[in-house]
Amino acid sequence: MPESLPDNEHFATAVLPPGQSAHNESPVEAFDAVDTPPAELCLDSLGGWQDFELLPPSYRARRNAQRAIHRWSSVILILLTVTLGSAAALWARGQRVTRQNAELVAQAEPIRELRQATRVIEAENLLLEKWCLWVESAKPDDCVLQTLAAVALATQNGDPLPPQKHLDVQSIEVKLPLEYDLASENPPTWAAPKFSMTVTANSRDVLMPWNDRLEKTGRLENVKLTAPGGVWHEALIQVNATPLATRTVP
Amino acid sequence: MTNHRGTDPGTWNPSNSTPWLLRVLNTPLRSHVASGVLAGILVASMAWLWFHPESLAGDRTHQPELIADATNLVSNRQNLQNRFAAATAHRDRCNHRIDEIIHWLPDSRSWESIRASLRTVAASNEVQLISLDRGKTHQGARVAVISTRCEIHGTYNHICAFLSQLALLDWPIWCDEIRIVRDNQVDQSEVESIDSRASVECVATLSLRSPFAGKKTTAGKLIQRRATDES
Repeated sequence: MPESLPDNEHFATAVLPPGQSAHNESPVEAFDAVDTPPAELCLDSLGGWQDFELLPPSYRARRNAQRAIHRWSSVILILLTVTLGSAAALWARGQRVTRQNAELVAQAEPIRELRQATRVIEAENLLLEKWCLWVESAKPDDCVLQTLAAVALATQNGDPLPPQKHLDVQSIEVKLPLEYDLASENPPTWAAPKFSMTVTANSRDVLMPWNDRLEKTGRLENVKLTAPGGVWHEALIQVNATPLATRTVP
Repeated sequence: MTNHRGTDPGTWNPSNSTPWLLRVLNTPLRSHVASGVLAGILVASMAWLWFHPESLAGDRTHQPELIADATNLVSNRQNLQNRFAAATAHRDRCNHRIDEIIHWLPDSRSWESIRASLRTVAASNEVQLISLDRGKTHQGARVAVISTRCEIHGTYNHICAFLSQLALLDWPIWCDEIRIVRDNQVDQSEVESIDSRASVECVATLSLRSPFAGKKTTAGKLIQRRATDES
């Protein structure tokens, strides 16, 4: 720090009134004089163009620094005020937003629980409905009886026929499709549906219309009439078909 | 003049009586630089606050997603309440369906109850129960079944009525396979009219399946879920 100058250098250059010496004033008093307005002397005899700065350069530098700080201080003060004010306003706004958000979250909490409960119930409903459909498909029905009734209707169609045109059913077999492991590609033999019927036909004329009526029952498909051994003039007729079931038997 | 800066006039030292700021910033250049840096920091801070107000005004305790979700929830409160009411009504319908399933599908089934049911149905439909054999118990994916094989004798009409009655029992029974053969002991000369044709005596061999819920089936899980809901 240049302020630690020798005392002699400080005060030897000060202009003293006549009759005073440099040693008549204490160093403290002399230093106080430094704080007084700048000691500038202007010699009128020289037209006022020459100034004399009698303070040492370090003091002048300090004084100029002090002036600069004073000038900057107002700017810094304004900037500091604006900055702190903005920060305080933003902080207050943040606190208000936080408080509002906390209130909003608290209000939404029961609705969130309601939504969660709704989602759980909806998911369970989907599962339960699927299970219900699946189990309901295992409820026993009279599909076998419906197939027998459809065949009876197709066989005895309309008015009674004379005995020579009768179709006398000797045996009838209906087997519905059974549930099997879906991992296997083709249904096993024991699970496949089957329909067979043995009929004694007293007339050949009624066979083709009968075949058509069996096809149209909606309960049979792939109806095939065959004669045992390929002898069609024999009275015995074999019918094979695939029964259509509404459900798979468990 | 009195010395108001130094503590002791006898030990006066200018470095002690000068403010520390002036001791540091003892030149104009230093003062300008320091003040400019400070002003620049303040301006930068203001700019930062201007462009990033959320740094102070933001909510640090709640995530934006949480706030957006809460806003969405509050604004859709009525819709959610309606959705909950619809889901509850749907659940009631499902429970009603499960109750209906429980009505026709017992938890378990004994062979004695199956045999008694078949005898009752046969007697009520004038069908003679010739034989009745118990088969295996099968745990299916949907339900479990007890397979039964039986042979009955009666007219075609009565056999059909027997089949119809099986599906209408309180605990209905599947008939998955039937073979009906005309009884050759009946005189075919009697078969003249439609009524008499319908009363042709037949022997029928039936494969029956009596379903029950079981344990590891879907029906078992469904009934267990219903019991849990009720409890």
